[in-house]
Amino acid sequence: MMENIDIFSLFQGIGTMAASGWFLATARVVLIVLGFLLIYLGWKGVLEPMIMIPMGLGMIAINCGTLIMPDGTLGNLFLDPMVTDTDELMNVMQIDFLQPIYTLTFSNGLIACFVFMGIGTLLDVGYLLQRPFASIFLALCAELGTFLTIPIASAMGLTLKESASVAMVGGADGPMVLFTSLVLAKHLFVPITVVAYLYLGLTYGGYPYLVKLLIPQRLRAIKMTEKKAPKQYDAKVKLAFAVILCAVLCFLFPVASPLFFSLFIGVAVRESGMKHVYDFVSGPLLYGSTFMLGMLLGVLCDAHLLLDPNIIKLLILSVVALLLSGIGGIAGGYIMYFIRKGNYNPVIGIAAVSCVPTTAKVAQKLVSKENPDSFILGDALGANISGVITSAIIAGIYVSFIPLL
Amino acid sequence: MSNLFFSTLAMMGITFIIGFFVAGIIKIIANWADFFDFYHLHKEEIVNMKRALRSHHHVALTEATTAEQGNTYTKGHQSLAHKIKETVDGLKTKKRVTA
Repeated sequence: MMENIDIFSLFQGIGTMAASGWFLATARVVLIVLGFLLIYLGWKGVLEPMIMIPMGLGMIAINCGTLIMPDGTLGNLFLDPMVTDTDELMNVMQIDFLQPIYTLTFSNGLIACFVFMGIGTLLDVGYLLQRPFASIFLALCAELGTFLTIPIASAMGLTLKESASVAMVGGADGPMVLFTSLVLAKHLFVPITVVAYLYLGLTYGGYPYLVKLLIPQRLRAIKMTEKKAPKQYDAKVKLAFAVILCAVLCFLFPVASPLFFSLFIGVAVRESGMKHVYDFVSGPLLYGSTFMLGMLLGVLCDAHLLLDPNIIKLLILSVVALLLSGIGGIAGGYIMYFIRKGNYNPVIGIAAVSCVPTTAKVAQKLVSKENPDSFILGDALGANISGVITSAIIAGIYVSFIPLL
Repeated sequence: MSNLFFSTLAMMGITFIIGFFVAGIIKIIANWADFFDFYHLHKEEIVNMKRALRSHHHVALTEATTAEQGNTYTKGHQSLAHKIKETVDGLKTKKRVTA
């Protein structure tokens, strides 16, 4: 009796390792190890734990939990992102437990919009109102990678739409990458989004080295002096800001209006004094969506889904995009330093690479280390918020213009 | 490739234009807020100043009206005086003729 039982059929996780061939099996093992590493780094606080812990666990579970489906192919009981047929989708939704969440929140960008609403509640636009031109200028410089990666990606053999989707990683805004790749390169949006979120998690650890490399200690320690105290704006002014800017940007780029709406409704909730709604959007909605996003991203790291021939290119191009954006931001910081005749800390430039509020925190941390009296968080947050706005503008431009080229 | 590079540059240019346009709108909102703040901060002084200006205007207007009315009276008086003088002179002339 026992001799008839095939051990590989009984423990299919192991069985599929043998059945899938050495290449896929190796990729699965690498992703499982990467999952452990992400959980460890998230737990240590090196990477954002809210995304990395569910993502790491998802990676481990999906790559260990691969099984042989009734039709003989390899699959899982989590979700199938490649299913397109409506009837098949209805069947899959009744079997794969995460499929409804994926189909109804992830693949239509709803979860990105929820995260954006939450980010909106974190933004104090007062910093941007104090210095709009300087902040927007820095943010535009910090989009260098978002632009230059397009010709580089095209030279590496990607189509224009694929190039624009991967170039959006340079904007350092997860929801924006998700949105652009969904519209322009749906077949690549799983690997692009996974790579983007992985790298965005790494900005916290990687950008300090870039800043230290490009800005000497003497300049990092600059303490900026103000002639007059920065003005504090009323909630009604900030609300007017959100309403007017939402109207203008939606008017200019209707394709990106869900993102603009989500961001500015977050700001409006923050400034309109709706305490219960604010508590909900900035708490359960933001943290719940981020957690679900991390979990879905982990589950999407199925080895056979990520083994796209373009994945290596995407890994390289994403790093290039983020690196160029960082360099662009620092260059913008230097330009401001020369315009203000030395009364400007160029480290603020790195905060313009969006990724709210991580890069602003990185900038303040680096400056405080060199000079504890130097406080740049206000300017850094202004540049940071501008980074979100410019990334949204570029997403709108790419989605509107790229299909026409 | 050069086409793509120029298209990228064009998109970069559009982004800069829209970015600064947005910054301009933000600046207008900030200036508008500053103006209203200034107005509310100095509301009492502004109201007093407006009231003083209005009273000053009233006084000036009244003075002008009075002066105009005064002129009319003066002109009337002059005309009456002239007529009286004419009549009296006429009477005198007639008297002299008769004589």
